[in-house]
Amino acid sequence: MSNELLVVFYILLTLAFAYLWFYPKVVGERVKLMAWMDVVVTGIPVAISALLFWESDPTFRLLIFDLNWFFFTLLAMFAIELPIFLLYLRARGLNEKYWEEFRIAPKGSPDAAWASASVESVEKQLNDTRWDGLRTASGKRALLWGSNIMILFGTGYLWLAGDSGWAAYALIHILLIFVFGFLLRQSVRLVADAPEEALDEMLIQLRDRSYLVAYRWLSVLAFLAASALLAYSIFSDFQDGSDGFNYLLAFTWPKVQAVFWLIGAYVFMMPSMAMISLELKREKSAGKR
Amino acid sequence: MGRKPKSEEERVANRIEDLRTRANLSRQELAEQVGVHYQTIGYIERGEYSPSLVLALRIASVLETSIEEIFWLDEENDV
Repeated sequence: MSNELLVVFYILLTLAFAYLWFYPKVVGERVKLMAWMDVVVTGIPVAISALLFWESDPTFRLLIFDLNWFFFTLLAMFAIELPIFLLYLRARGLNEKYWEEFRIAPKGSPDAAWASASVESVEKQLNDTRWDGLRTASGKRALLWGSNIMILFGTGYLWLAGDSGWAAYALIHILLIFVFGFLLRQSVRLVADAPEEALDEMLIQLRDRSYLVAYRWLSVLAFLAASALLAYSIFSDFQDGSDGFNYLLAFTWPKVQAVFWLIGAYVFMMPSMAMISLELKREKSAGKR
Repeated sequence: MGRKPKSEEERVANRIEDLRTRANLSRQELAEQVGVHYQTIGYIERGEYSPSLVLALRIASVLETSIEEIFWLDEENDV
């Protein structure tokens, strides 16, 4: 028996145990527990693969890809389990109840696919005063400057650090992105990420305007990145030995991290940043009256 | 026909604060009755936000008066 068939065999055994006995008899209709138990069930074939293949580390063929034991087991498990899982939910009438656990915006909300804050958490934030220090004009300005400096410094550092131990700063950079993202969201009381059911007409107007501004800034960022690529190509053409058609971008892992987290951080933070800048503008013009 | 720049637009002035105090209502109470956040009432009272017609009618209804008694165009900036 090939290694691939062996893995598929114990995946099927695990799924038979899970879907014919464990989920129906033990878990029942507790969908939250089912979601957690699915992690454990997925862990069983991965653990068996680790026991069998950790030392020998053979190559597994999945369609046209060569993979190691870990990714092959995980992907095969996912591909085999998904249809069984969906059929199980439907057969047991748990479809609605299961997905409800993961729904952030209310069902039927126009923001259902996009909101990353629930109605309850936004309502709680709107009346919360613990983070009011971040909602003063100076607090907002400090956050705006701080988050931009942090992103640009981290990007530049990782780009220049090279493939050395110094690139471990990537972990701190990622942590800082999430810390600043959290603080920005607290500063705008989650309004930028809220479904419209949690907001009144003024807050909806402010949120929508923030996305317009955020889109404009992101488009500037995208255009700058595309221009840099074009400039690089033109610069390469002027180098000795250039054939004028083939360009080689040599990216090290820290460089990939730098680009990924530059885009990721701005996508994550831009709506809140835009909302803060709009609030600062409004406070400034109100002060002039 | 285009819109005036925001800076040249008339401000919607109001006397919500006055009427609300007379009706013995806090911002929070008025906000709850008209279905908005209490800070939104603050923004409207300071003239930093112009409410929709629906919200203006709700405010008028709670304060038991007509819209014209509460809101008017402040033409200070009108050119």
